Amino acid sequence: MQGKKHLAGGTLALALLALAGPASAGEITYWSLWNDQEPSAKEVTALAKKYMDAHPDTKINITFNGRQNQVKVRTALAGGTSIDLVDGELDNLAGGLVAAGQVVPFDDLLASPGPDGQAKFSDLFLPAALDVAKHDGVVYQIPYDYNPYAFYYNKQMWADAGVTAPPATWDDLLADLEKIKAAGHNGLAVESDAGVYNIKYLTYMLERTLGPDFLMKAVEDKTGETWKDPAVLAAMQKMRVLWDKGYVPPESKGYQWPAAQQTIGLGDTSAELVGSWLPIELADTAGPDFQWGTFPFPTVDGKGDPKHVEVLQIAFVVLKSSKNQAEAEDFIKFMLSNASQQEYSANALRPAVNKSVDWPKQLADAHAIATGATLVLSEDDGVKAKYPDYVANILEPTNQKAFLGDLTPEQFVDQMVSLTKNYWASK
Amino acid sequence: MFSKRLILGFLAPATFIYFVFFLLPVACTLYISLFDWTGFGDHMTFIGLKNYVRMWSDPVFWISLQNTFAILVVGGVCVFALALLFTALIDSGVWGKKLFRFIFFLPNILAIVAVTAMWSYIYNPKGGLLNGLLKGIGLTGASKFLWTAPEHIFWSMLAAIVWVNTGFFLILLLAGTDKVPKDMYEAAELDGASIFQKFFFITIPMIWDVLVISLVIWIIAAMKMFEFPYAFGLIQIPQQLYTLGIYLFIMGFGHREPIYQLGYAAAIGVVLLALTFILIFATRRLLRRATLEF
Repeated sequence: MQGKKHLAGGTLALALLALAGPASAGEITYWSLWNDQEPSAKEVTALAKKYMDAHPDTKINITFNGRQNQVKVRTALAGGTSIDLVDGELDNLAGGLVAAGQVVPFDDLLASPGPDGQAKFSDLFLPAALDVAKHDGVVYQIPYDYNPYAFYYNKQMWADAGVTAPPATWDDLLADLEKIKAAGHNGLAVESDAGVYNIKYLTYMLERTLGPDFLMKAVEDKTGETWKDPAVLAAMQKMRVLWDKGYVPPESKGYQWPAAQQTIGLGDTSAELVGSWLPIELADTAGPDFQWGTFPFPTVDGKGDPKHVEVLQIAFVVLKSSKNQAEAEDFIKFMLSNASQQEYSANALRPAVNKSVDWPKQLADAHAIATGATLVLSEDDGVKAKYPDYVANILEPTNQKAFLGDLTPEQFVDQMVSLTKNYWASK
Repeated sequence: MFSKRLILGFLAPATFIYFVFFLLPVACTLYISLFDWTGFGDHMTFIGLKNYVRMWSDPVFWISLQNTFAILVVGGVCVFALALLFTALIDSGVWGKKLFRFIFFLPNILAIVAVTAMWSYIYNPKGGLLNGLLKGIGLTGASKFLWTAPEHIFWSMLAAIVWVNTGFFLILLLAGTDKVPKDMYEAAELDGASIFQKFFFITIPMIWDVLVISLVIWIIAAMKMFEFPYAFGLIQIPQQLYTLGIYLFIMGFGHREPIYQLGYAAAIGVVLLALTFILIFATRRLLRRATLEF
């Protein structure tokens, strides 16, 4: 067994070396959003070492800055520090370095052959993953980590409660949650401070009932009147049903992250609408035998397509000021290769964006959602990247108030109208 | 005794450091506040006082200001009331003065992240220490109280801030009371003064300068309150916990969203600095008394 492991490891290493391709000289300065103790950081470091082994003339200096990476990059660039490669959440990069015009376009790179014999590099990605990496029609980011927002649930608990198939419609979901409740469990985990998760109920509701462009239209309407669409009120009323029927336990209003999600791992609660990091975050609490399932946000009132998926991607950008653009792009190709992505996914337990790569077993259902997606939506249907202050100061806080029951659905609509109007008046 | 040149020579390094690391950044902040600037690249658009005008109609700025003042005033009253009470009790000759001083100061030597994590556990609606305790003593109804629900979370955080800061100000006040001549208390005791009479008619007047300095330190700490709400907010700081410092950070540096409005953040910083100066100046003027020498 041990010998087989060594053989497999050796084969993988050789494959990676072969993929790394011809040597290219240079020193790549790479600033990353991971913290150095995270499995992802360790895996990125390991892959960079493999790349350097195959390219003795290239050195990669990685700095792990944590989630405030882009702010540190901004300060460093202002101070004259030379940085070649940066990674970050795709929508944050879109609203920062990309919007500021400080990164290079990748269209030529994506049109070039892929690292595993693909005719084009762009053929390697999960469906529609690159669509949200565009700015004014040009791709400026190469994602390597793909996290769909969906319901992550305890398959065993649902089966024990008599639910045989994931819900296809909102009404199915309510019926299933009723069964979970009858079985003595909490339906959904909600954290009162996680506005960034709770907003997904609203964005998905609006996307399903009014289409993927509605939210942006409502935000950009300077009168705020678009928020008066009856479907907005209906969406919030449906969201409140989750509380009124007791599918979200009342104490959730006082849960601070990660208190609610822990109740899933402990077997008290059945599911959460969240990103694909949940099973990994709960690995220690839930244990290895926990059966994770994932289903997409269902259709609402017969409207919408569950194959439309909101995704948080982690992506690379190469800075315009870089003197090592070719080397940085070559390294990106290496990181996106089948072997690198397989190693990244298996060792860091992350969902890879390379469509040929399997995801960890906890994310098998999530992978099926990703491979079947017909439309990938960026966070908050693109509003987060384009109007981040609107999301932070208006959309998420007001949704929080209504979702947690401090505003009625009617008051929610009224506030969105007046706050949107005020937002544009102050611009 | 010293020549002017020598004095200038000694003052020069400190003055230089003060200029480079305080006055110059303040001037730069004031300058940046007049621009629309993301901080990426050199492209800055001059907009005059528009960032300040925008603040006037920005509801989140007012929420942040209101929260900051609530910490300053309500938190300040609680911190100083408790610190003075404990000073009176510890100075009354109770056993274990050093032990109590250590216990009260302990929260100040712990990392803020650890302290906020502890308070999150205390307030946890299910299995939290506080509700568990309430349930344990038979207050079943009260044990269901949601301390960190949006409508309560600010006051719950403020209680934790008071808990952390009381020990620090207690130490300052105790350092002042240690210097009060003991014979004054002995004379008062002969006249039949109670513990609290001695405290209010001897201790307070005698440590007045320490009290004023402590108030100034509190004003500065409360006005720039950042770390505690930031850590207490964990995954995402709810608007109920926004202070001016937090709002400045979110608008200038982003948190979960890519908001990079450095000009607006700089304007908030200028207002914060101005308010702090005004409050310190007013406090010192209002509480000015003749210095007691002993």
